Amino acid sequence: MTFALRTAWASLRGRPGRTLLTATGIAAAGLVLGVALTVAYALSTGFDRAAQRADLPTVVARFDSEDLPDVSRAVRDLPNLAAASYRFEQTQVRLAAHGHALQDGVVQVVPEGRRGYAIVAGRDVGARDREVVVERGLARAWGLGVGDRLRVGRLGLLRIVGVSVAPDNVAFPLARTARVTVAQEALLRRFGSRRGDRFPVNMVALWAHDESRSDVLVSAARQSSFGLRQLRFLTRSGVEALVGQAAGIVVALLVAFGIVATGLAGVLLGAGAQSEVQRALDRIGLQRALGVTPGAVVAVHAARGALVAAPAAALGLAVGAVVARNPSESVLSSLNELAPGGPTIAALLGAVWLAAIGLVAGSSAVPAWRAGRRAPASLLRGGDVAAPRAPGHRRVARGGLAGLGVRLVAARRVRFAAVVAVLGTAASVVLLLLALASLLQALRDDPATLGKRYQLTAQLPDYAVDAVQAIPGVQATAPRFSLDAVSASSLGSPLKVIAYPGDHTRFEAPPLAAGRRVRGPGEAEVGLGLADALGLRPGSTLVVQPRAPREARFRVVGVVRALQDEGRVAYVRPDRLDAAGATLTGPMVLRLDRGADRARVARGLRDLGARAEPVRGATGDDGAFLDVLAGLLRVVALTVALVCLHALVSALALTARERRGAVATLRAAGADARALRRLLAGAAGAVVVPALAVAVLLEAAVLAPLVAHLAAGYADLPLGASAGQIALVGGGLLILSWLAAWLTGRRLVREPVVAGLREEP
Amino acid sequence: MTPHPRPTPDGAVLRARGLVKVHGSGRGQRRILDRVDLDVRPGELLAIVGRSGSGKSTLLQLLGGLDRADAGTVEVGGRWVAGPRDGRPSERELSALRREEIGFVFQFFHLLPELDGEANVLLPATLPGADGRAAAARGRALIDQLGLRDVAALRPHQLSGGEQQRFALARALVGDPSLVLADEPIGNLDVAAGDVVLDLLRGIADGGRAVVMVTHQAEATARADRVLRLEGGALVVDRTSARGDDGQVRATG
Repeated sequence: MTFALRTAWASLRGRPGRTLLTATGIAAAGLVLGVALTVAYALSTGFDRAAQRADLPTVVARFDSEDLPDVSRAVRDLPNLAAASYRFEQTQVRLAAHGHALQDGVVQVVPEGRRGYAIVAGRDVGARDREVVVERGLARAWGLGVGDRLRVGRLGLLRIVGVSVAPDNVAFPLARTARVTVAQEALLRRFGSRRGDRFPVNMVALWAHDESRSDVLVSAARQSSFGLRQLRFLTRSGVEALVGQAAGIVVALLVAFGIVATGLAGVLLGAGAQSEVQRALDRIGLQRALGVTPGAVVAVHAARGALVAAPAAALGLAVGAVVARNPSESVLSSLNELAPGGPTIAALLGAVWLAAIGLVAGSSAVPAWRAGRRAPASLLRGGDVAAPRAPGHRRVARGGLAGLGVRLVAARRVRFAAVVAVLGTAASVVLLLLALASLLQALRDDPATLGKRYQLTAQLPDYAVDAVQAIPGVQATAPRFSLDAVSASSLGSPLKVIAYPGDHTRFEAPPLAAGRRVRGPGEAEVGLGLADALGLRPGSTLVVQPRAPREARFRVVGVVRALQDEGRVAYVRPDRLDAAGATLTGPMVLRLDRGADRARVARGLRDLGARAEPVRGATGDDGAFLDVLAGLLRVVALTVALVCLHALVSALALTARERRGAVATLRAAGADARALRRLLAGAAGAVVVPALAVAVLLEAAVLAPLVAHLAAGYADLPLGASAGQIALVGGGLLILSWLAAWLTGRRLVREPVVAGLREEP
Repeated sequence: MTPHPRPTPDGAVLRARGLVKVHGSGRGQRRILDRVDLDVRPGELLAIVGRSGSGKSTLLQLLGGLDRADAGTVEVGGRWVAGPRDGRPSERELSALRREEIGFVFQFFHLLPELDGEANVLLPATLPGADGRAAAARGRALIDQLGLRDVAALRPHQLSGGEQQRFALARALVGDPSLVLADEPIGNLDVAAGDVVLDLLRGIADGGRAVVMVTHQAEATARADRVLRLEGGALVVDRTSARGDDGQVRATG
């Protein structure tokens, strides 16, 4: 082992430039890993972390205000119940501070006991008067901190004593409402109530003894809730789904990207290690000729890989983690979730660091083992880790210097394939990112992405259908009823029920994945997300509990790839909902003729007393959140671009080093820096062109379906790259090729010609 | 082959003055060349001999601008290869000089294995700054003149040593240089193939170009107009005017 370490260390010190280049490659891969892991881990575990720290209730029941004793009677004997907290929430409260104001504030009045939120700054509200805890989203958006004052409706100015996080909804301003918390005891004392007085209760938070059997608690709670009006249950898993409605697709896509990027980094590390052994073949031959055993050769190269990888991977991982930390924290913050602590990330990265060292050492050991088994003479003559194939006998095509560059780089077929694979994989990730960005844009702006065929909505009563239909440019119109409900068979599973009188596909036609369309009352098409969650398929029965006295039952006739609400939707005719006593409300939707004059249609609607509302995509108009996500994508894309550049420079430098003789012969014949750049550009082009083809195929055939599947099994996300995006990536690769050729060419001309002439071309 | 001698004002195509080359540093320092002076005229075939490690190849590389001298100057066709401090050419100028004035022939041929014989010959014609069309025409003519047409489509590994060196010679002449520098041109060839190559070098010199050849072989020096020996870093005359006015080779001495 001492021999291996000593020889490896001497080899690294003997070629500091080469060692630095190798270390740069490993650091680049570490950078990708650092970014990907930080993003993926932080986002994928954000909800659970926040829920645990906040002690999120197992289930929350909301209902119209009742007296505490009535509610308490229904709750106290529930099975599997560990604790209950009886609360009062006041909505539509005006909040104001620092020049900002909001009408949609929610004041939560909390008694002593379990809280259901985490304090991330300051302290919780106590018995003292005029104290308030604000949610983190509000604090960040308005620049509030502990000690600041917030005007809370009629309570007046309250001093902020803490900042809280509760992952039971997305954060303000992604959510329109912002929540603040005050202590029940302090309020009672302030208003002079007698001891024992309580606020009315309109919300109960329940904690189960055994979280895995929370369904027992929910089921019993529902059965014993007779008498409570407008009762809605929300389970912890239901909360997760609700939060997911806002950003679940995007977060899942980013997590999926992290997994893909991790694979890419593995390919990079492996290919880099293999290249290192390739460079050392002559030395391996010499060592073998001097009597060094194949085992010792393997040990030397494994040690060499580990010695370079240890500091380089540590640096890359650390920088990646730092670079990704802020953007991922911004996303988490928007979702009311918590970032992992420093020690957790450090432990994760430490494990990955060890794995990276092992991967590099192993990737060095395998080709060294193969080389060590070959005859020393063949290594001394110069060879490949894999035995080279005999040159063909066909006449060599012309192509000038660039053509010669192509032939030089393609001569080492195994490595050529490895570089093409690395570059292709990296470029495919960039293509995926571009496609993802387009998808985000489309989700935000393009209703057609969600299968919507109507372009305008207007708040008009049902009877106005004929009048709207008469407006020039309107092809079809109908009321669109939409209501929130929960599944009666799986309590707490929220879903959106969308009802059209008549054929809904005239206005909304998400692609049919199975079964057929709705043809009459009592039938339903369900989104893939809902079908997955409830195990529905054509022929199943969907029982929904709208905010109505009775349940509504439907026979599932089709499953559709709906994106809206993560696919947790059901398309029905309104009859059964009406019969269940649900209040059906919703705007009039207008499908316009192709090329219709929207202004004229808007004027027609205005004459009817309504305003034309353009249809938006899934994520609404929250530009800030999308900006955060775009920032995250930019960081990832930049690291991948750097990896591409490094892969290209490495490939060219390696080719130039191995073919020093050929380069020197050219220079002896009068080739200057320009000629060398042309040669190297040809070599780079030889890598880039097939890499682009690999990238397009990989993205279309593997990554896009994989990411779409990982991200959203409920929807068929259009993640294929467009021709423009392919052209953009191709252009980017060509620019990187030129840059790599320039950098390598500059280095080559600094070397005396004669140095290369000592070697064979 | 059309000669294009571009001699310095005093008639020499190549002129070197005070060339110094030092290898190593500190106590391991060795002065390989010590104030070497040399003139070579158009039409002259000069052979440089010496023991292994005496610095013959180093001298040739300095003359061709393939390596940098520690001191001294070299002029080829009136252009600096290694100039005084204020006239030291840039790498770009050196490249142009090698492209336009100097042809190299190496012991190990240095043909690119990816290219067939003809493509190797025409390689200099593809360089930026070269008169590509004229150089390509000249290269094809050279292939015909050197009897290589039948094997022009073969790759180096399919050619004999003699054929490879003839292709290398053709490549050296594609740029129509005034000076040809040959480093052990027959060091890797059998006697018969070596004779063919030496005859060609002789013909090149007779055509008006200057040829400087580093060699160990007596049969090579026998064809030279002048033979210089490199000893202790300095050039000494080994033999001059081996060829009489009638063009016949005389006894060496």
